[in-house]
Amino acid sequence: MNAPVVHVVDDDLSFRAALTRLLRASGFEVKAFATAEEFFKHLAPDTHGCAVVDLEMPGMNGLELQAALTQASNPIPLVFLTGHGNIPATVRAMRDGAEDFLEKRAPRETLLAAVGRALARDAEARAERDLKRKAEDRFNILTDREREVLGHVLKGRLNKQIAADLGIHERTVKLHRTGITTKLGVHSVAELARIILHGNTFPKGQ
Amino acid sequence: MTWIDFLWPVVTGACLTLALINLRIAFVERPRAARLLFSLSAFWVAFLSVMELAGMRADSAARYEAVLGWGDLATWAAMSSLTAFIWVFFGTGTRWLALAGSASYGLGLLFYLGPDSGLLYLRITGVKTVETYGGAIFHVAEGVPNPWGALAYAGVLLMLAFAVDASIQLWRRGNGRRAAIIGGSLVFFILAAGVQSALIERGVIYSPYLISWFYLAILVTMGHELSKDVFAATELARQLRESQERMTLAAEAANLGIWMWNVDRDELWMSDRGLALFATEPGVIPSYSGLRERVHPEDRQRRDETIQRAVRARGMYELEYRIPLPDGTVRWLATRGRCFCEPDGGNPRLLGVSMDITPRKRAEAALRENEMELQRQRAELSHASRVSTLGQLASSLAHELNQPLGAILRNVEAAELFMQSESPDLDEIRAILTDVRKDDQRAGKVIDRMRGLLQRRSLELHPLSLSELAEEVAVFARVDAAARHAAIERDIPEGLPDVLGDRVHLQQVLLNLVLNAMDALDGNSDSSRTVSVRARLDGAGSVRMSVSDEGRGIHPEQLGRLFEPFFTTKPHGMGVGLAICRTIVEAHGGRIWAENNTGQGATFHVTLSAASPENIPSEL
Repeated sequence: MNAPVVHVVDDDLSFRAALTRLLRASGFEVKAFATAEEFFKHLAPDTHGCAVVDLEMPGMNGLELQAALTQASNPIPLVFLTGHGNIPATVRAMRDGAEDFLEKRAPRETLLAAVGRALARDAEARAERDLKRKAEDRFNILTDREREVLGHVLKGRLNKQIAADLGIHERTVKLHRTGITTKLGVHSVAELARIILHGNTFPKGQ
Repeated sequence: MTWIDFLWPVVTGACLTLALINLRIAFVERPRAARLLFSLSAFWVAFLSVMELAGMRADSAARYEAVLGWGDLATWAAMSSLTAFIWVFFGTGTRWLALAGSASYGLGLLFYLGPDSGLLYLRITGVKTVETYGGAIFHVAEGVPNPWGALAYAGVLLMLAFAVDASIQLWRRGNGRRAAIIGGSLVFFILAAGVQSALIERGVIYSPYLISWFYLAILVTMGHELSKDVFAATELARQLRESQERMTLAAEAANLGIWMWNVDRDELWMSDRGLALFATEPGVIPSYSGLRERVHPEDRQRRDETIQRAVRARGMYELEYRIPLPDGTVRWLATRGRCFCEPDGGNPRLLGVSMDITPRKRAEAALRENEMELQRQRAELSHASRVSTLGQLASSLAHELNQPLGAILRNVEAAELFMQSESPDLDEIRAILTDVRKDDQRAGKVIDRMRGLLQRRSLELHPLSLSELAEEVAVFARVDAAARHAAIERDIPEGLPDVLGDRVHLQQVLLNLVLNAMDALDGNSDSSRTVSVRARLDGAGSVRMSVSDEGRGIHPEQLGRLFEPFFTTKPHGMGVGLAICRTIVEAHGGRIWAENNTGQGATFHVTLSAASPENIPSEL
């Protein structure tokens, strides 16, 4: 697992350097970019961390970066910095999910706290994604038929009814159920339901 | 059974009927006393006619005697009632005549209490049978006349005299018709009855007493006269009802409430719609004071005074006032009233209509609110636009500076962190210090650049008319001036030469000075809210423009600092206005300064070069 990285995106060389210095001195891993495009070139699906982004930049500006990021495969959290207050931009940025919106001259504590929160958010989101993927993986082991039967089971249908619905023998239904419980390693329908809820997922094909 | 037995009861019936009718009417119509008296007389004549018939059928002296007393009493009573009727109804006549007459006759009646046969006969010796038309027979008394019977005749004569006198007086008063008909018929009755009775008693004629018949005649006449009033009243009532209905219909159609108030009797009538307007219970018409209660307390006095004035002057009035409704809202009513009265000014009555004008009032209020809102917005707009031109400048300045300043701050914070460690990386710290210096230089350049924006190079110089300039600026400031009740006076002589300058920049300077002057006037009363803009020649080749206010003036300590950047005396001021003005004016090669007036307020002076053929730019 990679360590979380704070990505600084600002076209102003002096400010970029100073901010990078401060963040490193505060114990963060930092990577700096002069433009949004450079940042996106670097961004990978497994990139951990957050971004501290200047609002006003030539080319793609901060808000446009935010919009592009939400479409990306790895939408890491954002903290905005700006040279002067701009209320409509603030509102938009926050509504679209920025972690915070600060002045460039905001106090150190405020800035570092925002970065901290952004990183925490990223870690949480990541963990949740993992759980979900794991849950999905488990269901991928099942055959199509087994998944079908599972769906009916979760609806609360009795074996007899499932057999009638699918046009197969009740014996076959029982067979499939055994397969499901073995492959998933569960012992009851309740456990099954718990996995699904936990992973916030539903087997594909349902 | 003869016609006598048939006819007399008919007369009785007729008298009774008329008596009862008039009695009934007496309780409803005026004049009450007169009608009661008339009714009384009719009752007595009814009784008399019964006695007359009994007398005619009395076949013995004793019987006749019994009847005669009652008959005489009835006659006296009837005549007295009629006399009293004339007394009350006409209101004229020599009173003592009536009183004496009635007293005289009445006195004579006392004879019936004595051993004699009564007032007319000392003794009745017998009855005589007389035959008259159609074979009908009747009895008549025979006997010795009583000389005191003269009392009766005297009484009748006196009452007759009273009747005649009263009638004549009434005629003289102008009520000729009534005098003639009623007076005449009464006189006829008394005369006829009296004469006939006398003749019967003297034995000159043998006929039944026809007193009741004579009475019937006048009863009909009188009844007709009196009932004419009733008919007239009924007709009037019908017309009134119709007219009321029409009025109500019209009022309902127009959504008006109509009402009538009889002032003296304090009787109020109101249409249903009117009642609804006043939010009273339907069907219950309140009194004037009850109505007053429904009016908004603050409006009551004004309303009372207006109405009373109208009543006193017997004139018209118009009013608008509020009625608080049970649901807490307020209804506005408009009322128009007019006072009617008798020709002599008596019996004042107020008639009027009321209308619900709440929608109009609300619309007016909304309009007023809108206007105020509009004013406020205009003021805000002008304020905002003023702020934005300077504000834009200031904000872009701030933004440009935030970059280097932000970088400096971050660098310093990083350095502090490094310094906290056991062995700080000195190379790193040196690098930080270098960067900090660079950023400081950068910040300085930003400010220089700002100033440079206003340098001579960026100005477009043209000959400008100061009066035109002042006019344009007055237009810009008009909304602000209106909102703040300030006036802008211009005193720029016609022959003044044009100045050489950049129109937009000089507009900005003048506008700034004028708006500052209006700010200075903020605390002043409405009479001294004038900003004056003056221009004069100032030596050769120069023109001086001055903007004065009547405010509190400038504190002497501040006079020198006014044009410093970021110096401001206003709570939300940015302090860039005058600094920018100075930059512009100096870029024009002119001077700007401020002085306190000898009187109230302060004046800002600006000198500019006059445009002459030599200094106009060659590009033109």
